Amino acid sequence: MSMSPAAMEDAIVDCVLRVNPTFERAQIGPDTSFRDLGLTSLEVISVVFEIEERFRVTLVDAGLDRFQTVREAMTVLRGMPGVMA
Amino acid sequence: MTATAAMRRPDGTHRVVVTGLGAVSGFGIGVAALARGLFAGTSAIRPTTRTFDDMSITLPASTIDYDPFAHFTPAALVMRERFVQLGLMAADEAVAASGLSAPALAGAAIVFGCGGGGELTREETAVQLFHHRRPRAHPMTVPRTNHQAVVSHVAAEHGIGGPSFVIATGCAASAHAIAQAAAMVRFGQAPCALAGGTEAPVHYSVMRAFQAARTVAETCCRPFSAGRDGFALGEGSAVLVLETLEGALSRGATIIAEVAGAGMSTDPSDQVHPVVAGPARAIRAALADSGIAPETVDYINAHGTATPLNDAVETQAVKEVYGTHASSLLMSSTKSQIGHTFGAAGALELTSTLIGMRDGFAPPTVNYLGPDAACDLDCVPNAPRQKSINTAMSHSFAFGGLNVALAVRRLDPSGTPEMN
Repeated sequence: MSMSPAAMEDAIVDCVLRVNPTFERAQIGPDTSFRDLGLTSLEVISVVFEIEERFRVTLVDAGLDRFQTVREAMTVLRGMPGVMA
Repeated sequence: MTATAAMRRPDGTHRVVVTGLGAVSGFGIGVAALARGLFAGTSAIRPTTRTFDDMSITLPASTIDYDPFAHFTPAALVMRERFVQLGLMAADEAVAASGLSAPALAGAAIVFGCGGGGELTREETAVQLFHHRRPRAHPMTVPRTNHQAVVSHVAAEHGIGGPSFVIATGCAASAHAIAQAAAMVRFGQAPCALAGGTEAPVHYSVMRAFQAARTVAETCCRPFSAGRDGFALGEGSAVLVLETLEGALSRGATIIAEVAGAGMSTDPSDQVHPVVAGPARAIRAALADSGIAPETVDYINAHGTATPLNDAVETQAVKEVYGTHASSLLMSSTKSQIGHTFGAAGALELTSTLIGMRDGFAPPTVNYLGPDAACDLDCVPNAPRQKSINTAMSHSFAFGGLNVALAVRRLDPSGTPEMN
């Protein structure tokens, strides 16, 4: 089942907030860089992990974990078959 | 203050005193809650259930009912497993009670005991990898499960930059930690130290492991008693602030007691079967190290696990070391009240000893049903006993035959030992 872009964006922001609940949702726009938010390298790879779990996809092994923003993550996910809601 | 060359005492002649205590136990958060529970002669052990899917296990355990979000921010909790949370709460209390300033703490040592580290995260990772067959563990798995997480979080919280490490010798871990921290202060390697332990083992997989080892009681823990059948699990933490007597006197700190000596030994025989020789050697070493005459020891906080063999062996070791004085001293087991907190046990039990010393009572051994000929010392059955304790010992004996005895004594305000 495919997701609406808005739902997908929300789900990715949820993943960031799970890793670092210090942020307000409003701080994280589609083009906000994770690094600029102040996420540590371990937190960034934790965001990738949360996205893999949330969408049941494999990003790291496919070399698709290079994104730095929510929009970049959405682009990767929308290119993948069978992204689940 | 960091350790300076001038502070070094190659002969170990600094005297080491306790000037702050912190505790989190089944009786609640804080030393006052532990003191109330010890004195009330009640037990914090309850039937405790943990589940996984449709499987469950219920064992007697002493756990702490608290809301982590009331003590830590959500962001802080991402990195702080339960054992770290407990350690931080105990350390906060101990530091505040000591009155040590931030500059004085800057060079402190932090030495903690911890047996299991991040057991909950380890369990969740196993579920993720093997049950859900997912290819990846959570990236925070390593920093959350590392034993040393507790000392690094305590260091960060209090701006402490001295040496810090964790000792993982199971049930003796925090007794080893206190012995090591005291040695560092004694030899001037650190001006002061936070010494203690933390453990949060009440999880499904850990309960299954101890149940399989057949060391856990059916319903409650009754050390030295007829009908005893093992320990109850417990979670908790205790931290002691140690510093030189000189430093404590010069800043007018309240001195709770002197850590007068420590003795350690290993039984090079069996991994799990306790024997008399090793514990007896550790107790003798602690007496020799402290210069305390055996016949002046008022109270022993026993290892007292309530397994049939352990308690008999510990009784035998005490009789061997103390001779006829064994029948005059009191020896109780706080595990009957707050469970076996493994890596935190040595610190929580020494703290309980110091509470008794401070408040003038011997903590009890609760759930006592009646005498066992193999455990014929006065174990302060079922109710605390009013008693002036000037000199005491705390025992911790771990699987693997690792034994520690810590000797403490009360000082008058000038730093002179109190005598009966």
